[in-house]
Amino acid sequence: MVNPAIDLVIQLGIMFAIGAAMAMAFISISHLLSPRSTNPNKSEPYECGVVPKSDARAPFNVHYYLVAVLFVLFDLEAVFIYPWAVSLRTLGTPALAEMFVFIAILLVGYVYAWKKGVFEWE
Amino acid sequence: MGATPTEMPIPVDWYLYLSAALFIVGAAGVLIRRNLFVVLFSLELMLNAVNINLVGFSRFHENLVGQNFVLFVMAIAAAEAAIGLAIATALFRNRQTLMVDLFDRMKG
Amino acid sequence: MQWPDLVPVIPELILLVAACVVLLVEPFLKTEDGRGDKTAVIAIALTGLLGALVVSLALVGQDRESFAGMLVLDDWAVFFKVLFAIGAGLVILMSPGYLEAHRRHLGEFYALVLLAVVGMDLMAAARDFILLYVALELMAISSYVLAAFFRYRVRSNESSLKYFLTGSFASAIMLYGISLVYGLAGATGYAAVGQALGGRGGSAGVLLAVFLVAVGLGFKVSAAPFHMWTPDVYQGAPTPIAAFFSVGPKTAAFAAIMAAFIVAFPGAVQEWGVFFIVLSIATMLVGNLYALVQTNVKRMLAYSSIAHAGYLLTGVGAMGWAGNSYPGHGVMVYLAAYTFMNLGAFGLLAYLKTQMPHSFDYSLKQMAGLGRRSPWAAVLLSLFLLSLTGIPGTAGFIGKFYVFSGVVWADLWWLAVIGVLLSVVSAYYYLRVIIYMFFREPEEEYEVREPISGGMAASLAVSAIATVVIGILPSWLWDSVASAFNALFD
Repeated sequence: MVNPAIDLVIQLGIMFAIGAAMAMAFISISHLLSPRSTNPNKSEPYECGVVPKSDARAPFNVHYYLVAVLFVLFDLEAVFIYPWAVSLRTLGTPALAEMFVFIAILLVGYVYAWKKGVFEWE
Repeated sequence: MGATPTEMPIPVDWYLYLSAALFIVGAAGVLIRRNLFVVLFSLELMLNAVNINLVGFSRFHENLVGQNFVLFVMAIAAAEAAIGLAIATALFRNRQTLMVDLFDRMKG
Repeated sequence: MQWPDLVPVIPELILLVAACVVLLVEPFLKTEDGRGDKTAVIAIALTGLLGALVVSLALVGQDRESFAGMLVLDDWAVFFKVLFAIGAGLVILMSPGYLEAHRRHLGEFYALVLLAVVGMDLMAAARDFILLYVALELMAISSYVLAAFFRYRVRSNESSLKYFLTGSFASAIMLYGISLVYGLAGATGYAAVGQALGGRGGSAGVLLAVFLVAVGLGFKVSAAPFHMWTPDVYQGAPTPIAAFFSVGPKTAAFAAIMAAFIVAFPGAVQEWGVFFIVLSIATMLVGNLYALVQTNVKRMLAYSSIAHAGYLLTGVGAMGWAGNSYPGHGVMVYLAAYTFMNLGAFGLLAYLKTQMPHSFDYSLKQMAGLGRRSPWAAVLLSLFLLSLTGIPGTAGFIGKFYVFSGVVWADLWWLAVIGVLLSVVSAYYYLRVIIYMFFREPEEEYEVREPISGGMAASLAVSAIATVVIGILPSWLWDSVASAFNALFD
């Protein structure tokens, strides 16, 4: 019997090895079996459609930015709702009230962003 | 596998090594890297190193305080990232660069 | 689960509601020129602060805890809540004129100040590292936005960036320290940590954890060698906001340092005492010596605020060195005195800027002739600068007297001597401004815009009166500090 911690490392190592082997196997099998054409159009980003004109790293409209940042913020509030939902039955009414307060504060932020025109796309 | 449910399968000091390594990588990134976005990533790395510590200790002490704490750290990390990005946007509009060592209008 | 006891957080709830109302009202305020009349917003913010102040004063003498012991309501917390409410009120009074002069008067400003005050209140009331961290970040994140409030000015952006990067770096370091504290103690409440660590104060793990927490909070009070951000941030930020930064977050960080270190790390008092003593010497030296060579008055005040953090840290270090809270009394008196005199000094710079929105660049040579240009402003600024120097009869003298006598009480007379000597050095750069104002001829004629706005006048008057009153009648302040410390140690 080896040390359980080392044992676990060995198990993890085997898992990683199998995972890597499977990934490589899928790629190489499809590489070997798939039919291929060597038309130069294949190297275009889009095989059919508009030919791209400029670099993809163009500046975005700043609105994307605002929405993305707001998404990050509102999305993360879910981490507080999960544990709350799981333990609501044991915590009872006070916890329910607290969650309403929490959501209300979030709503203030939401209404503020809305009124400031963050969600308007001209 | 001799691990009973109360015993940690991986000893707590391994979490400490991992989190210390991540924290140092993050701290070095904040101090050395010039691009503001990379600096922001490094800050996140530091906070996540702390999270690993907290979760590891939470298991070690068999109480949930550490896991509780992690939720707060995550939320605050998101808020910090949002502020950092907002400052980056404002700076980029005015200066057209995100290299932090160029922001030296005030000296002395 | 029990309903939480909300009485200890009524002041914060009032501020929070006021901030939310400001945020909701602000987008609906529009006039023809699209800039809106902000009177309603200012009124809401001031009402909230006044409410918080009155409720805090009504809660003197209480002793209760709430949210599973995460925060307490005692005279200690009330002292700081009152101080923060008054300080933020003075900042809000001086802001409208300044923001109008820069054509960037938005209601969000007031909401952010209120939220920062909520964070500072909770930092002082916290008795748990989780709440300490969350409150500190609430304060810090509001401050980062406030520093960048002039979004189209590169300096304001840079100031905010530097504040953000150093601030979040520092709080990450502090957080790592807190995670180690939790790992060693298995709890995050100050008292529980103190009990768990009490016996093994000197172990390497405890010392590392204490060191990291101290470094993180040292950044917040701008102790050397973690002070680099301070001058740039204060210089680039809007002046009322620089005033706010120099008193609010600093005071909150000192409150947190004193409560957390005494209650949670009693086994390592000697070690953190020595650490803060070393920091205080470095901070006093750096602040005073760099302030000597500044030609920009705003930047000089930034370095002077570093120097004052150094004087305050001597008291904190003496607390640890003596293993006794008595030297902390002086630190709290100093914090109250410092709030008024520094807000006054920065507020006067904000006033001068509103007088000459385009030409004033805070340089020393533009202070020349102020004594004739606007005598009242010159007299008030002289009062605040004399108080910062520590001339008897002013609040600054009382603060320094109590801090240094606490340091001497802890048998650290040499540290007090260093502090007094460097205060004498500081007289040079404070008095130089006064000499410029009254005895130098201006190089050019300045176009001055009057009149002073009522809010700014009120703010400066209150600061001046408080500076003089604390200077002449300090005993009531000493009594409230003593009862605050009794509350901290039951």
